[in-house]
Amino acid sequence: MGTLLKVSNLKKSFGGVHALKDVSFDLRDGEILGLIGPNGSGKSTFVNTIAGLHQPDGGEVMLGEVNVTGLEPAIMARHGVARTFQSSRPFLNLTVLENVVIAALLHEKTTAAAETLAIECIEVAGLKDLLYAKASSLPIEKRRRLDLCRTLALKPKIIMLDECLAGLNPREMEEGLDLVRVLNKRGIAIIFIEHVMKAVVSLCHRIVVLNQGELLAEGAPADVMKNTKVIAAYLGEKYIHAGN
Amino acid sequence: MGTGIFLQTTLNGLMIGGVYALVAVGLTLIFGVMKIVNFAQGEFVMLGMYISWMLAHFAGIGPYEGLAISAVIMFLIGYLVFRLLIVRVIGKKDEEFILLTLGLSIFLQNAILMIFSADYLTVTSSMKDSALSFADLTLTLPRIIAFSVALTAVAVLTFLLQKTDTGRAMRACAESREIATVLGINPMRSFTLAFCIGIALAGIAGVLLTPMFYVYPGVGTLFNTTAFVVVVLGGMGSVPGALLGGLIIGIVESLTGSYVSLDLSQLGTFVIFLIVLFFRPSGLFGKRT
Amino acid sequence: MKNVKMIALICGAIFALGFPLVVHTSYYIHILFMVYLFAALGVGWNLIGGYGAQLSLGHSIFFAIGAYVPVLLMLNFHISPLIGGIAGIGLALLAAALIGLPCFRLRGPYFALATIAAGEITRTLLLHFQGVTGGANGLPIPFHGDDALNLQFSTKAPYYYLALTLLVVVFLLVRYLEKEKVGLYLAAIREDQDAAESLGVKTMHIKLLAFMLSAAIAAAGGQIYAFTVAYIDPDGVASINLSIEIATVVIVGGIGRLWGPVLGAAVVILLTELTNIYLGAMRSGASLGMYGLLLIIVILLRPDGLISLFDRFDPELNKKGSK
Repeated sequence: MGTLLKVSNLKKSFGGVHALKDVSFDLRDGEILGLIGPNGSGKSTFVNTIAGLHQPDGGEVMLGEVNVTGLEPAIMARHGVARTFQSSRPFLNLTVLENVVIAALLHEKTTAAAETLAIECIEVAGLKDLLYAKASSLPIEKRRRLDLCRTLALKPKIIMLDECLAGLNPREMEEGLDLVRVLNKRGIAIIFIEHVMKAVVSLCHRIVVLNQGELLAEGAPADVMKNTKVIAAYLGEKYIHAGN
Repeated sequence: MGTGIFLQTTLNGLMIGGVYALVAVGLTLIFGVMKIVNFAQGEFVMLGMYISWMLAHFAGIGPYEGLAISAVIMFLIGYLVFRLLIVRVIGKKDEEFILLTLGLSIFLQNAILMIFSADYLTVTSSMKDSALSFADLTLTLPRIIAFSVALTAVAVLTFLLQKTDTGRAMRACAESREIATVLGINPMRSFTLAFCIGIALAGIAGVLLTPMFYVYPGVGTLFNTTAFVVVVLGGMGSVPGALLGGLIIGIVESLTGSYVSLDLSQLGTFVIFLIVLFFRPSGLFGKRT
Repeated sequence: MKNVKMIALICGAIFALGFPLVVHTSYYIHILFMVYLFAALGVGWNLIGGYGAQLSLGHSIFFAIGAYVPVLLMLNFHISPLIGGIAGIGLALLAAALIGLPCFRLRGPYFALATIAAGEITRTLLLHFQGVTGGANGLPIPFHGDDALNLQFSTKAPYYYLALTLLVVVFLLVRYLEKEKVGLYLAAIREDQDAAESLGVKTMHIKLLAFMLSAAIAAAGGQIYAFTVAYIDPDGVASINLSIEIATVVIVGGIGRLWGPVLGAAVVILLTELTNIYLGAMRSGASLGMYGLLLIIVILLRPDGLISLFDRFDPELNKKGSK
């Protein structure tokens, strides 16, 4: 598999706090990459910096042969890098269809064509019955689906999902994971940021672990889970000793 | 023009800047605690001026003697406005608050215009024409009093914010409404107090200005825009920033007025405003975000 | 329902077109002229202020440019206002771009404050450069007899039809844009700018586009106003009050709604005229005070505007964008 996104030495700090120090890794074609780490480890900062919401203080982001470091969000979306937000952010006063049409207009010239694409995406996301419902009337699970659906309508190469399962019950979580797999089967590479270990291990091909803005570990899910540094970062030193 | 005139102009600007600072401190307090911009702040300055005029006209109480009464009346007006209007848009969209206070601003202006007509009124004080001189600089007493009272009011407010529980509660609300609530602080109480104090400060500024300015219905707009500029300059929500910003704007306006053109004296202020907005929206002295 | 709407529309059209033929009192014609003018200004303002939720309080700038440019060109160089008007609109477009580019980086109250400052700068400059603009004394347009090329008519009716035409054109334009890419993108910006950006919406471009269109409409309105009243001065065409009046018309009618500004203009203008008749004779300030009062009442009681009163009769109206 070739490298789709190459992140080298990415740095970002806020008023003296180093949120990201020298983070480097690759995202390969068609892969689901898990990005995990304890609270405040820099996961969301990472997504926001790649997506162009924050300007990086240093480092480079290459999308294939194209240098996309520090491009603004709208341009990143044009380059095929889509993202969802940690807290679900649909356009609350618009209908499901309008929400998705807005995204679909990125590649479609007319609203009619965008509507066709949007309805396709809405079907994939399983929101077909809610076409004309206002986003504000949707429960959290459907809002999360709508978020995913909007990114799908951008025809992206990569989707960065920032805790897209937060607030869901176990059954909804399973259905959410299935949807992510469906998107992945369509050839979209996914950076999957999540707290819930079980979800990450079952879904991801590979995992990178961030801690305090640094890359702590990288590898296959099973290997990473056994890494003592990772356990220490998550649970504190004493658990390792207890385990021994 | 010689250095004498330059110094005199600067000094005059500094004194009036103290009053601008007072208006702006009120505005910035309201913004800091409630996260809303009161677009009618200047009209409360105007109300303060009219109250001062009425006290003098009907009761024979001079502006300085009646300062405390005026401040209390303004505090109560602030409370009334808060309960009747402001409380209903707390937590709603920014636009609603902007439009509500804009509506209030033109309503107050024109209600006063209907009651008092557009006549220019004056308030005299026995101290009006007294002045202090040293070297070849002269400062009229009203300017000195305005400056000193303004600084004192800001000092008292700073003490209140830093050293009392009420003040700490307000600062906690300024940081985060949620956290304040968790800490057992009633945000509504802090909001009410911040708003009323902010209005009272505008009123005090109005009283201090009456011996120097004509009293007329549109006089508030002058201070409205100036107060915005000062607050943005000092960093929205920062009391010391507003104080410093007020002094700077006072001086800038005074210098533009005498060295460029009197009718352009406000232009300098607006240009500074836009420059600061675009390049340091967090203010010259505010935290960078 | 559709039929009722159609009949109402036809009746409205007949009324609007026939009014000056039946009623010859120029005062009444003037009131309707003002309704159309403010409705057009409001529909234009709604583009950026309503659909895009960027609260511009500096639209007087464009109104003033639209008023001053053709008047100055005509008075000084005898250029027909038909050409001068185009120059005015061009300059307003340029001014909107120059103001929008920096101001749209600001959000919420900061944007509103910046537009107020820009408006006040414009007014101060108009007052200052007396040699050109006549300063506070303003510029009267002398009447040299009926002359369509110079927009000079001895009766009010032609101006009435000019304002009506402007309203219809602007209304149809915005009605079209509402359903198009621009309209949807503006709605996305209104709802959540960051989320819109993440979906590839170049928010700055869209806001600028809407702002410039809106400015051009304000300029066209300014020109029609200037030649109708035959007198312009900075306090009349460049004051913050004018900017607030335009916004008020939209808020009272219904912000971000196509018919909102039209209803708003009718209600606001008629109410202020009534206030003027009954109170204005005694005291000045009555009509502007009315604007303030209306703004307060609507924000407190009906933030969605008066048009929302009709929603219950017409569920279609509520389901924006649905089929």
